[in-house]
Amino acid sequence: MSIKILQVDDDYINNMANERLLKKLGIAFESKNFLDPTEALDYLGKETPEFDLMLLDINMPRLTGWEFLDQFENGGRFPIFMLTSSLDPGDERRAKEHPLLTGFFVKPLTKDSFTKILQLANIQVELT
Amino acid sequence: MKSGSPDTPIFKSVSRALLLVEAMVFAFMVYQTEAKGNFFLLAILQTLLQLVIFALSKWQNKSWIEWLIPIPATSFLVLNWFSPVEITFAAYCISLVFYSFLLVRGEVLPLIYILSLILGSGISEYIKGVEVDVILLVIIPGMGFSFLFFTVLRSLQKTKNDLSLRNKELEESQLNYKTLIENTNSLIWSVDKDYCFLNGNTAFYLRYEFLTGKQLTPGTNLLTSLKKNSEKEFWKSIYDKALSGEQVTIEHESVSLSEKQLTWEYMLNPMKLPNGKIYGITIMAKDISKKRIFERRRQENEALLNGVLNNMPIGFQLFDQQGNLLLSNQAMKIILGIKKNENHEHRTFNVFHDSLLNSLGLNKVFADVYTHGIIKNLEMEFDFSVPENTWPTTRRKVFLEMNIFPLYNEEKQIIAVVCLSNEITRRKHTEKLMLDQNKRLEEYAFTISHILRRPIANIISLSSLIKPEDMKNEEDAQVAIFLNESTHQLDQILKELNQNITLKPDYFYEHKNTAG
Repeated sequence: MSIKILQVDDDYINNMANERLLKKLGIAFESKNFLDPTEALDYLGKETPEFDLMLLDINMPRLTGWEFLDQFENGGRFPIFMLTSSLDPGDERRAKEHPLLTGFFVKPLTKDSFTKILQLANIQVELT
Repeated sequence: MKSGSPDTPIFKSVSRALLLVEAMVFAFMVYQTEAKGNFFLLAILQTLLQLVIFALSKWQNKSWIEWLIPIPATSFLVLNWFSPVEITFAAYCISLVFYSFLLVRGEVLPLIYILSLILGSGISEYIKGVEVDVILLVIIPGMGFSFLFFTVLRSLQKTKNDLSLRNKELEESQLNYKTLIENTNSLIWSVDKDYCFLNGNTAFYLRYEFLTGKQLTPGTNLLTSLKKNSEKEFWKSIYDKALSGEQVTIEHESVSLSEKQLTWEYMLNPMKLPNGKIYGITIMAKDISKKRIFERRRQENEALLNGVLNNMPIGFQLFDQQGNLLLSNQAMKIILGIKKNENHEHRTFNVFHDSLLNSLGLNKVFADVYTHGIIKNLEMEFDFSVPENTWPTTRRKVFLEMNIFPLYNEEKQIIAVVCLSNEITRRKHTEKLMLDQNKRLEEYAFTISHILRRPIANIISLSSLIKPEDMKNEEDAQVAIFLNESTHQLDQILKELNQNITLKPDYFYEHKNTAG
């Protein structure tokens, strides 16, 4: 089974590194990446694509991760995880209280953190 | 009705003699009543009216008209236009004129006239208290002399009664005077112009006996009975001052026999004869030692309060009911930077009419305190560089923490308002510095947390993808290991740094008991 992942992060290197990690872990996946959050919103508004999970950054130009969630009208169809470089405990507190978020993780994505994401998203995959 | 006219010379002589007596009685009355213009005016008016009535009766030959004769006098009495004395006076006058008139004509007073006057006078007596006998005296020919006798007797009796009454009044007055001077703690006495004792109250007698050991009697020279020369000189000087006609009030300290310091207040008044000549002095002495002690204590308390006000580091201002500044302490002047100039030191203002206070809205704050009794606590920045400022200050800006509250009297009415001011300029400055610094720290934390950490996270992520075992040689493998470790160390340092910056200690808000 292939996991469908949506990545919204303006940092290309991060998106690429995440994909490399998944490959290295032997996970079959399909990813769609957006460097511009507004484009992601447009896409999600027009289409009704089904994803198994979404990785969302906080600090992005034009629209922050929080603003993205505010404007994401059809949220709740798939689990969304905040993946950020922020060390601000306030962000973590806010994420825990946000109804659209399933989890909060600090970059970089690791084998342990991704295992946790899969658990929270109820996805059964065997990692190598 | 006419009673006829006896024509004998004896009758005429008697009549003339009686007329003379009546004239004397009238003159006596003028003297006694100190007759004024209105007395004569009334007499002339009534006489004229009665002459008119009498003439009318003769002219018409109708005697009933004579019954109208007493009407004017009675009417005046009833209408209260003139006093009984004035009416009586007028009656004498009328009688004299009539009696003369009748005598010249050789007529006797008509009986009806006599009856009507008696009746009229009776009514007057009943109404206003005019004496009937006085009127009878002047209207009945031949009876005037005997009535005069009775009147004199009566007058003597009256004088005796008056004297007895006045005696009684005098006794009462003396009793009152005695009660007045005895029911007091003050010493009261009088001396003549030779400083000899005339009279005094019991308190003075006792005091004198206590001080001198001698009994005081009228005529004792009070100066020579004094032992100390200084005391003699003192008393002579103030006695002489009073004897010169001056009212003297003086405070004098003396030591009692028990070595106690006493303060006396003496009031000396010259006694004068009706011709203005001074024949002695009355003296009243009050022991005001306790009053002086209280005054001294009050002054000490005031001085203490002023000391507290002027030495406390908080500015103090007191405003009256209208908002005028009554009192301001030294700290307030220092806080406001009032220039060391006498005019400025005593500068006053009204909280409702000061342009600087109005521009800051403080007039409304004071209005709340004055009108609703609200206690106000506020922080206020005074910028003296604005055009509205009229304060003569050396300072440019002052930040004050102000507590404004009303003072009430027993009827719960606001009688004054107090403003306590604490200067917080330095604290405010420090607060602003700290806020600026805090803001910069937050910006720094954000930079670390989001901007700097992003590439670090990427490096960690990327380095973790490089496996040492995939390296061509051992050295490269070692480099890969060190790169991985170093990036993790760098990330750890960043995390700790961020934690230190964003740490918000709670010890400032909550006291933790660390003792146990």
